[in-house]
Parts: sequence; structure tokens; C-alpha cells
Amino acid sequence: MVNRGQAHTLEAVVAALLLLSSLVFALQITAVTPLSASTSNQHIENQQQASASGILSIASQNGDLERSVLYWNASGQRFHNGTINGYYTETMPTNFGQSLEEAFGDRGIAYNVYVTYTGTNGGVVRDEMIYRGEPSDNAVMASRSLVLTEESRLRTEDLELGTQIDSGNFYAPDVGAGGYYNTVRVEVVVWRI
Amino acid sequence: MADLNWPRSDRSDDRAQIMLVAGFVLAVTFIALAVMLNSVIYTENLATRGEDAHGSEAIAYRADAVAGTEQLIEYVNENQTEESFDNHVANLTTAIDSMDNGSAPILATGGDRTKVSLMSVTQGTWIGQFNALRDFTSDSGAIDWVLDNDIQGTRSFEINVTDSDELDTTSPFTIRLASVSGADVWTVQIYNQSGTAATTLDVVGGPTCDIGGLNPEINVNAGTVGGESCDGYEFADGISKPYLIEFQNAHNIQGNFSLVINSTNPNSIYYSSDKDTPFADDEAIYAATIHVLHESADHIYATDARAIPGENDA
Repeated sequence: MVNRGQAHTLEAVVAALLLLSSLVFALQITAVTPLSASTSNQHIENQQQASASGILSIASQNGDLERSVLYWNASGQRFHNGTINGYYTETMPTNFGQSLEEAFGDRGIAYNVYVTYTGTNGGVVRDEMIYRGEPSDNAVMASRSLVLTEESRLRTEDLELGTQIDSGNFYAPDVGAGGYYNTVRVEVVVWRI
Repeated sequence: MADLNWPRSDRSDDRAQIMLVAGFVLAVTFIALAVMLNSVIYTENLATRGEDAHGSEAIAYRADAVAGTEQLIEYVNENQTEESFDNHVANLTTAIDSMDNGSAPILATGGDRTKVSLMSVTQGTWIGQFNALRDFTSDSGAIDWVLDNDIQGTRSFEINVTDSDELDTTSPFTIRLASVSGADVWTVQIYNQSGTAATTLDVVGGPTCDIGGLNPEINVNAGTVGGESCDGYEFADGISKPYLIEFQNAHNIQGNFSLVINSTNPNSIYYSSDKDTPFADDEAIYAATIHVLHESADHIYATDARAIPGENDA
């Protein structure tokens, strides 16, 4: 009787261990991959990048991108109605800003917009246009570039044509010859929050 | 005692075997599950990758390079007037090289190598008039006059009406395009119907649009008046090249106009060199072909692209 009781207890313990370890194993083999449903899902990243590229393409095509890049308050050294740092923290009051806000704003998706251009010393300078914080590791980026000529004109606060750009009244300096002024690359960085 | 022990030995043997078999079955099941899940993950991984070589970046770069070149062509035409065509080409070459030098380091920060170079340039004629107080009659005062009669293409055709009161409904200002060989004709009339605060763009045998308010800027290529577009409008629809452009009833409109045509022999009797009256600068640039290279880790893309500013405005 004593022997049989011990054997039964041991069997029960072994059976319990077997069940537990199978449960642990079953949970462990479903590993977290880049495709597991989460904010960093690759499908979502692809989708966000496609949306950002689409918005940039449309803005580039209909001139909204140029209007936004030139939407600069020369006397205040910042974008019109931007913060003291020069950039916007929510969105910008142009059609391009509106498109971004409609596409991402109320969907729990944050975005930054940067402008990259050649600086006075020939180096590449990157400034914020819309800045909502440090992007996460799973942010995606889409960009378009825009050529400015010496005939390009700043936009006033109500998007009318203003004065011609020069190194004194615009953030990007004149670095070219023969009418070429500078190239501004607009980068949209998007991430889920 | 021996009798009492028999069930124990038999039953415990059975149980141990069943547990062993159960454990083995579970092990095989889990291995099968792991293999299956792995293949699902692999398939999904493949599904997130496009089958292309991320070509959209290269296509976007080509579009940006063409847009930049178009702006530089316009700059050279408008700011370096009264210079020879060769000087214009030299200036454009400088500007495009400068654009390439300026853009390449910026794009290099994204891991792309780029190159733009000018391949060829098409000579054209810039025709226009910049005088807010004058009608569109020729320099000698002709009401109906042909701007050029051997045109291979028209771009950046813009009219700025400075006084809508001068527009006339009964004999409206008309732009007539006609093929040199053949009977194709395309005609658009511009007038203001009395009592309406809109300008009428009336394509004969085509759409009629009351849009854009008074004193508007009209883009004849795109069919927009004051930025509003006219549905169904298509410039030079059904016209075979070469064709002629004629202004009719040119005394019934007032303002500025400007267009660039792919032709170099405007009829000089209608023009002067003064920009207050119609002028024709046949040393202008009509279009340019550029060679675009875009190279990244996934692809090398090289192509020729044609930059014709304002030809396909919409």
C-alpha cells in the first residue's frame, strides 16, 4: 500500500509537470515577430509610408508643397504663426498641413515634417517644419525634393505671393548659379502612438 | 499477500505506457505546430515585401528633377532675354549642373546617389505682351492676326484679363487653332455674359464654362480661369501638327498674355521688340531633355526625361 501511494503521487506530479510544460511550450512557440499585431506591425508601417508618399505626391503636383516650404515669416525668422523655435507643434495652416492632419491627425498617428537643404558652408542642414516629438523606433519616412529658383517668392500669411527669396529673408541660403537657388527636401516621418 | 499485489503491478504498467505515449504525441504535435507557424510567419514576411525594387523613390526623383528643370527653363527664358539661344542653353546648363550639385548631397543623406545632366534643348519662341492697358491687337493694330503658322507645340499659354468690361459677347475674343494640312480647327472664345461675375470659356463644339470671377488669370493650356478648372476642356483637341494660332477680335480683350511655342519663325510684321506691345523672342527655350540617374542599395535607374514647362498643366 505504501509503495503504491508513493507511485501514484509521483505520477500525479509528473503529469502536472507535463501539462504545465506543454502549456509553457505552447505559449512560447508563438513568438513575437515583426508581424505580430502591434503598433510596430510591418503591414501598418507599409501602409503609413504609402499614405505619406501619396500626400507628398499630391502636394508636390498641385504646388501645395512649394507654398508650404515658402510659407516663411522673414521678420520673425520662423514659419508663419509657428512657435518661437521656428516650427509648428500641431499642424501648419496650409493645404499640405491639412492633408497630413486629415490622413494621420485623428487616427492616433503622429508625424514630423523636416526640411533638408544645403547650408551656407555647403553642409546639409535639417530643420523642423512640424515637430511633434521624437519618433519611435518604428517610424517610417517618405520624402520629396523641391527645386527653388531665384524667382521663387515667399508666401505671406494668407498665402499671397510675397518678396523674392534671398539669403537674408529665407531659411535656406542661395547656393547656386544661373538662377538655381537651393533644393529643399521635405521629409514626412510617421509613427503610431 | 501475493494475491493482493496483482492489480497494482498490472495497472501501474498500463498508466506509465499511456503517459509515455501521451507525452510523445504532445511532443510531435508541438513540433508540427512550430513548423507550421514558422511557415506562416515566413509567408507573411514575404507578403509585406513588395515584389518591386522600391522604384517609387526613383520615379519620384525623376518627377522632382523634371519639375526643377522646368522652373530653370522658365527662369532662363524670362530673365535672360535678348540673349542668343546658345547663351540660353549655356545658362541652362550652368543652372542644371548647379541644381545637380545642390541636390545630390541632400539625397545622399537618404542613401541615394543621383545625377542630372542636360541632354538636348528645343528652341522655341516666346510670344507675349505685358501691358495692363492694351488690347491684344498686333503691333500694327490688326484685329485678326496669326501669331505663327508652323507650330509643333504650345506651352505656358496664359492670359491675364485686366478689365472684364472690355470683353464682348457678340464678337468675342477668339483663339483659333487650325492644322496647316487638313481641316482640323479648334476654337475657344473668351467673354463675359452681362450681369454675371464670371468669365466664360467657350470651346466651339465643346464645353462652355462660366467660372473664375472677373479680371481673372486664364491658363489656356489647362483650361483654368482664376484657378477654377473647366470640365471637359482639352487644349488643341483633335488638331494635327503643325498648326497655326490666330487671335480674332483681339480688340475685345485687355491685359497681358504670354505663351511659348515650338517654332522659330513668327511673322515679324506683327511684333515689336517692346514688351508693352506683342513681342516674339525666337531665341527662347521651348523644352529640354535631361538624363536622370538614381541609384540606391536596391536599384539603379537611369532614364531620359523631357521637361516642357506648362504643357500638361491641369
